[in-house]
Amino acid sequence: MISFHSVGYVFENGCMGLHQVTLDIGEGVTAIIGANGSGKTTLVKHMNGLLIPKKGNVFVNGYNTRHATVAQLSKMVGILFQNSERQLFANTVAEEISYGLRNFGYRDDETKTKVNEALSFFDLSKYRHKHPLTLSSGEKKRLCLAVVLAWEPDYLVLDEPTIGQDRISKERIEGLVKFLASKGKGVIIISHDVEFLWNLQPRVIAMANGAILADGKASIIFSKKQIIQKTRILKPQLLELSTLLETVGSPFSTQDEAFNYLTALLNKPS
Amino acid sequence: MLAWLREAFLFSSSDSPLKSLDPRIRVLITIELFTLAALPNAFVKAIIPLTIVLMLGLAGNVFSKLMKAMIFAGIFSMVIGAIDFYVNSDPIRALGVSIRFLGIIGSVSIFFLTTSPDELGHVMKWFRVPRDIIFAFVTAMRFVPVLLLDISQIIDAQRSRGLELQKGNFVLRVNKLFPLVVPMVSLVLERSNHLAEAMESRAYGSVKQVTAFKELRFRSTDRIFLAISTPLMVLAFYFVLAF
Repeated sequence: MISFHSVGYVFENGCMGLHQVTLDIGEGVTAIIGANGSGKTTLVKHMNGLLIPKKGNVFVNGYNTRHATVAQLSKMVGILFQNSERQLFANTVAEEISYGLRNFGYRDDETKTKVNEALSFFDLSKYRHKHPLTLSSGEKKRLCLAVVLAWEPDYLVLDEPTIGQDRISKERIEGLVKFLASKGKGVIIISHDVEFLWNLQPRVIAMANGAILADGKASIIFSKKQIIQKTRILKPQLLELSTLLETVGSPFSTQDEAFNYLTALLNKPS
Repeated sequence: MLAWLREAFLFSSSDSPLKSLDPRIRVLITIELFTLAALPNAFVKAIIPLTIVLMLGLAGNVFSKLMKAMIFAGIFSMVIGAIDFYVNSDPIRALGVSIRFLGIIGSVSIFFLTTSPDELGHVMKWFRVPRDIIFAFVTAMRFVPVLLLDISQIIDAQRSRGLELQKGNFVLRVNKLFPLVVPMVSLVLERSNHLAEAMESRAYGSVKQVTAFKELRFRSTDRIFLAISTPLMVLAFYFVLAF
């Protein structure tokens, strides 16, 4: 469990980062939405101790982030930043994956096993001796995911994972998130991509001006006009269609429900 | 630390009497103060350029930023003073050397804190520096904040992979910089390539003589400032050199 207890953070230039944030994040998929500068990244940087709260406390699996190092916390909370490809530096893909494992003190044989597992899981085995920077954009993204998931953190934070990704890559990421959630991991996603989030049907935390605006099920949060406006996102298309059709029938929230509803509507004698 | 350094040395737009002056005057003052501070002085005389720098910091509305630069320079200043004391065994002289160093750094810092990259480009153009050199220099200046942000993001990413820069002996710590330096160099090359392509797409270099959006022009406030500051500066040089 990641717990925020009345957390406040102010940047050195005086800008408000977080204001009185209190929340618990457990296993399953949690999405964090909000306009640019609303405090999403600041929030997740508190999860592995990159930022220490100026007020309040953050606990990760019971450890107060004030009393743990970033390395200790990162072993529990893996963060994949936006533009994560920029962290690649090793000579080979396998070395890149092993870097974190070595930092976390895994034995050589364990490291080797985990690297092989990560390579095969992310379909990167054929590139194990290639230089990471020679991979394509989608492959680099997979490598970055492999890098973080190699040490199997309890929580995975993905900061804008779908930016610049094609449909196939997005589906892969979606599948991975569902797989990790089914294994009892906590996956925290920062994203403006509402269609991607809608498919996952996560718990949604909406943020504005460093504070929590709303917290609840995706179907509820995305249907609130005020939250949509304040977080500057688009309503998921399915929900938008459902809202438009509300006057002629009951709304729907999943693709199957929409299909059934529309089929019934089309087959209805006029 | 990086945010602190950015605050200490980089221009930020705000109104102040010093910033409203023609940038050529700021160049002149910087050269004068730099020379004054660099002259071999006794302890008392070394305080003069430093005092002027601090006063200009106030006039430029950048005093707190200047102090940050001074604290940063102070570390090196103490080392230089210590070396001088070790060689000459004269504490007053060593203090003078340290203060001179602070004066030199302060004079340069005050210029960059109060002069935007655009203004610097105009000044260089006025000095007839070739356009390509001006562009390279100004672009480099403009990209410093971006690069500092990139460095900070790379550090965050590698720390999240278990990198602990504070641990280990000197050799180990130097080795630990490798995962920071490689992505940084690769990013800089990638960024410069993108910039070059973008500039070519915007017809950079297609004509030899380009027109300027803004030309430097001396105003009455600039003349008044020069009329007051020049005799004072001459007096300061006279005091430092003659006595």
